[in-house]
Amino acid sequence: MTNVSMHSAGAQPGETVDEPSLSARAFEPYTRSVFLQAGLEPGMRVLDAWSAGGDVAFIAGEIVGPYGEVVGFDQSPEPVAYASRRAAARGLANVRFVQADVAALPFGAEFDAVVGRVVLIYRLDPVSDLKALLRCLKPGGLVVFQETDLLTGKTVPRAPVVEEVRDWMLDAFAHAGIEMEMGHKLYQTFKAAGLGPPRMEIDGFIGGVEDISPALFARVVRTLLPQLEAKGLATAEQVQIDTLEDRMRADLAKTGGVMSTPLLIGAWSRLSASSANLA
Amino acid sequence: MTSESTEFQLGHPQSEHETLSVLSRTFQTFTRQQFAEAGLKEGMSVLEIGSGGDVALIAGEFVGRSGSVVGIEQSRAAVDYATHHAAVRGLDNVKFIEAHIEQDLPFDTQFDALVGRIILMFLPSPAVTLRRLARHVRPGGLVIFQEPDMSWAKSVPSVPSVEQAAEWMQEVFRVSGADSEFGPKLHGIFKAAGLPAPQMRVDGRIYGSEGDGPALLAESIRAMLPAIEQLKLATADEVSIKTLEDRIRVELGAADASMSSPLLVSAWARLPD
Repeated sequence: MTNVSMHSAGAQPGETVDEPSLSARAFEPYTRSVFLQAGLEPGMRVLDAWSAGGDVAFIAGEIVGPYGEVVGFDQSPEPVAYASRRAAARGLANVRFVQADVAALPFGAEFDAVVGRVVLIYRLDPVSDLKALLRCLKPGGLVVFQETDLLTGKTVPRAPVVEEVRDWMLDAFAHAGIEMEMGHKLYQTFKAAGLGPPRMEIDGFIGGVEDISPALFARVVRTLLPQLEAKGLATAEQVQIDTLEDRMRADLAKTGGVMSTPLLIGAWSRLSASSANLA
Repeated sequence: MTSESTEFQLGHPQSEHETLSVLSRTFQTFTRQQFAEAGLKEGMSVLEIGSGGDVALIAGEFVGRSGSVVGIEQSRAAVDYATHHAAVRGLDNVKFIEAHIEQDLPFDTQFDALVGRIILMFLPSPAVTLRRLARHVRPGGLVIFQEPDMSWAKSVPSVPSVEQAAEWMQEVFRVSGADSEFGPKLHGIFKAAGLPAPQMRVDGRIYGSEGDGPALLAESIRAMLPAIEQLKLATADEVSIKTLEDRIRVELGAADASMSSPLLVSAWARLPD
């Protein structure tokens, strides 16, 4: 796992514990829509890989309902504790979180579905991780992932301040060795893990001066700031993090245009009913 | 309007004998999703412009027998074609009339919703036309438009036949004066038309060698072939349209690559009460 992230697992200052992160809010409708298209249903048991703050597990929990169950795992205790607090605050009896490493998951072939959002992008070996996750699936089980294509975001017409911010983010991700096109590469990753070719869809969020995208970018840059400075990609004076969101908004107001977040790419497939390919 | 060939290349069926193109089928799904998300409902009256009938028929399904749809087409032939398809699908709540969308419409009815797909991009002054059309929407009514963004299409890992076809497409668009990156501009067009800032989203599909992607791309290039030759981007021999789909399929398969469809950008807003 790299130490660079597009989203923070914990609550930010000024947020109540139950608030979803900005990226979670932007992505929520797309995740629900992909889950439904893929065939997530009431009564299913779902494994949420690298569950972070729990937002993806909560969406799955809504769909599987009171007779289903969602188990989220993450490798460090902080996100597990945080997501558990949020689940408790929402009174969710069908969603729980455990601490586990993907290489030593404490599950048998017991889940109807395994899901994850913007998680494989941080993995050094997504194929072997996915194979490990598939071992937790019943034969014929569902696999649903959403990952971004970081090279796809843009401003139309070109907004120079926003583009500079995007360049910083991409530089930081590139330095961290992140797979920029993980979304598209879900296709190869699924196949290499022994799954059939996935169905895939692209979703994206576009917004103007009045939307949440500038806040979202500013939040990401805030978490990247130490890396940006350490690698000499940008200085704190250049970034001026406290006014960054306002400057991006002013930029969009001036062009009258829009900015898009990187596209979110969903892929889903089923384990073969015999699952002999995973032996 | 620009030339018909420009419009056709985006997936309009050429004759009633032709089945719906792969691209039209893909975009139909996005139109249904968008209508549901924006709140098009049973009983509504809808004004639809210039899709060749496809979008009006989807709207007809949404509003049901207690609702109604008026589709504007710019030629008698298009009206006849769309009317025929409405009859085939048994949708008697959808009717089509011939009118020029850049002029005042020959009625002053107020509708619950105004919708259109892949139409504003062909107009010389889309904001002016949108402002005029929006006068036919009641206070609190919905405006929903979907326009493409072709600039994002790519293959990963990059495959030569796909990249080459995408380049031809971009170039035909550029020369024909149509904007291949029109979709994201809907935001500014809504505002310039005096409408509220729209909510926006992007939809697309990704295909491997076994999916609809190779057929979709080859079909678009087939429609553009006259333009590609005329602009001397490539000769018919170089394009080899008959084998293009297969070549794309083989290249994708060999590289285990995936390719994206053109993206459809949706923008929707509700007028103030």
